[in-house]
Amino acid sequence: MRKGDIVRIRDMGKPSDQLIKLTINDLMPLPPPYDKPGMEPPMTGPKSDWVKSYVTELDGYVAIDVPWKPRNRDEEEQLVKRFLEGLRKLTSKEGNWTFLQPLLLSLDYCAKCQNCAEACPIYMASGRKDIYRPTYRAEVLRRIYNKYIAKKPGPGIELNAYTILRLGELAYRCTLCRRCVQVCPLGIDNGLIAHEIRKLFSEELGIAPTAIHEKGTVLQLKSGSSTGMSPKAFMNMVKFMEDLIYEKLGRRIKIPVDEKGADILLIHNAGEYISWPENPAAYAIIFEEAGLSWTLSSELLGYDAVNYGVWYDDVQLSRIVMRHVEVARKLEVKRIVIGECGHATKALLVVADRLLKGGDRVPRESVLPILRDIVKSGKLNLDPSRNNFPVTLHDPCNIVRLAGIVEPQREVLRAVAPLFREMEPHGVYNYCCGGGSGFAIMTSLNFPEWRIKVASRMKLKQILEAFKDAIDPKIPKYVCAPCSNCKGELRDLLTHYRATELYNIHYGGLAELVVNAMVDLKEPYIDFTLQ
Amino acid sequence: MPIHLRWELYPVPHEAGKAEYGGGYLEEASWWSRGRKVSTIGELKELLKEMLFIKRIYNNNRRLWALSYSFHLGIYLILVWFLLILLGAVTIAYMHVPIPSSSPWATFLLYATLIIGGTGDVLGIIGGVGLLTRRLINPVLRDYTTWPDYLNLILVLLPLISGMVAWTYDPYFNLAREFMVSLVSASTVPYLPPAVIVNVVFTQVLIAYIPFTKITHFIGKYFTYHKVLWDDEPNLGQLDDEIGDLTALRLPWNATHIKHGESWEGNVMGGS
Repeated sequence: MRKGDIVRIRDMGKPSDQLIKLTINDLMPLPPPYDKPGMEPPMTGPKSDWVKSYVTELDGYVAIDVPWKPRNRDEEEQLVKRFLEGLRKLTSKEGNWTFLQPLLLSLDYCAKCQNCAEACPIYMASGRKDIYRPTYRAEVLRRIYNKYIAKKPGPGIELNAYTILRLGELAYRCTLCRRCVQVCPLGIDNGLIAHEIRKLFSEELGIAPTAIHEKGTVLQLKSGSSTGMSPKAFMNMVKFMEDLIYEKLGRRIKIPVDEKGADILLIHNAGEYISWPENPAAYAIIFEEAGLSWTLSSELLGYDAVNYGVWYDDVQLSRIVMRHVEVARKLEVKRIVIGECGHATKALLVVADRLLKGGDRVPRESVLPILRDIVKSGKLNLDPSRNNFPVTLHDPCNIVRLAGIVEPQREVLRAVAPLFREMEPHGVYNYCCGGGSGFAIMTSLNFPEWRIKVASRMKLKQILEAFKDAIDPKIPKYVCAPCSNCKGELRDLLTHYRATELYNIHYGGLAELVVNAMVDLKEPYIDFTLQ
Repeated sequence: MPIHLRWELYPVPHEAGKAEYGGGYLEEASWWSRGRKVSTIGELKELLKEMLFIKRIYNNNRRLWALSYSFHLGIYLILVWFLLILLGAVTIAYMHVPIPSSSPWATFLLYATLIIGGTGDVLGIIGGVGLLTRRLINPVLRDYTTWPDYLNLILVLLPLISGMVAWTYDPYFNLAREFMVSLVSASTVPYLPPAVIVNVVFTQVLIAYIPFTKITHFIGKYFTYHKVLWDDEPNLGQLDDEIGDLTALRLPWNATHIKHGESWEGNVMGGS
């Protein structure tokens, strides 16, 4: 039970400045060694001129970095009208058969008991700020829906431009990790409601953060990858990886590209090639050692598994799914295997399952069970003592809670990392890294500050607690995150808190640990184990 | 309702051998060629734990659970009480065994009805009043609670409280049984004191009101779990026709990256 002022549902429509202002003192305290004052940079406010173009009226942070604020009364009225039009479509079969039943169930049956709030890492890390309750944005949408669409009795809500502007921003204060749903006695999905609000904004109003729309799905559909990587640049990356492998392994491997009729089409998140090429290179080594029939693709979209559509737009999601499937069909492979990328795994294996029919239903799976099977088969000559440093596992929500792939990565770690320890909680009850649902790639304006300090705070706490017996900077420590976006978030998190520099905490994928344990390696595969 | 895209949430309790740690069939390489093992018992176990004990609230919020469980258990017991009254009436009308009487069956019915009815009513009132008070005194809950929410609680509490008053006029529920006898055997309706009539009326109002409210959340809950969160059934071709029909629907959306009025399929195949 709490006392004092609260931010009320109706405050969403208040024509005022920020609903809340966050300071470091509000946030959930961090465990040692980050429990002393001055261990983290302070929080900053928005720049004064942002308010003209961006929505700073929620918490002062800006996720939607396209200028979309109405400039006059007319535009405000238009915004309200178009929003309601979008909500009508969102709750219709034509507009939203894809999620209509789950959405209406969640709008209709919430008992508002607030049981879910304590399960949310953002609400908890923020020092229990009301606007971050999983129920807050849901209740705002519910009241608008009940009043204007379902015409149900009940309290109304002032539907003005402020309500809509704040709701748009608030849809990007949830990582869609859906931990809140696990504790709901009625199965209400407040994560889904955030997802559906994002969809309304994107599909009707054309509003979404640049990183996930213009420079995300739109760029990927046009140029082949959300990184902007062209097929030619991809082929250069393949050469680079072959050189890297030669350097580490002492012999050359020819990485198969566009091999027609191969058993497996392996698609990585293209961000791996740019930021962590040692991960796809590790898979090339492992697959070749295991003698698999596999190939990469240099076709547009065939070398980038990402599908940001899964976070905000079903049409963009479907377009990317179809292009991935087309690449596989053209190559006549037997199956598509998604590399260490959480959202791509969920998008293509789970969410896309009911978009594909007939010949488009190409079998699709995650690389983790294949990796587990190879490690357990004994085909690789492994010496786990080469990974003689503490390792903990971050569970990517999209792979674990949302796709049910829990044990394969653990079986691999138990085989190759003798000092593996779990963080708490873990498995399907894990906490999001804070980079989920596109946050990891959203780097505009002051959003990174919010996502690192608030959204990732619980993860930092978990990492520090998992390594509390080995926090000594002399001991290198490894956070294994089998997901590109999670790695991106961990990179930013560890940098912000200087955790690598001060406490020797590193991060990386799963396959790198397997290759690092291979006996016939010329030199250690993971850089910090070089000395 | 049309089918929706898959949006399951693990643990999914029917994943045989894997549900315990939250795993599913995607943990197996070439999962589509291995056959899927579904455990109905696993699902039933989870269902019963939730129905009978409200496990999710118990694990996460004991205070709320104490109130919510008392309220729900009270209602369950009242439903059992109702069945016992019905059984008593059938015993009197068709087995010609009076209650109370020296028959062991009659004695069992008499006391079971008394204990279950009394306990149910007391628990229901304590839980219901507790939940209502919690919503009124906690500023956050008060902000979220709408008048239909209060009305739901009050309309459930009215038959429970008026039932408590009526009980004082009918301590062994003999009158309730007699009333039920009149309903099951079309015999004369006994004289009912006003307190009992009030209770009957409140109960009827509640029953008439339930279908229009969130009190049907026990039905909603079936759908949220079975049709969404636990629905991990892969499409191995059985949904192809339905997907075909749905992707033929025309998109009403207006954003510039979507071709308004074009079908899902046309939009998707044509790219952006």
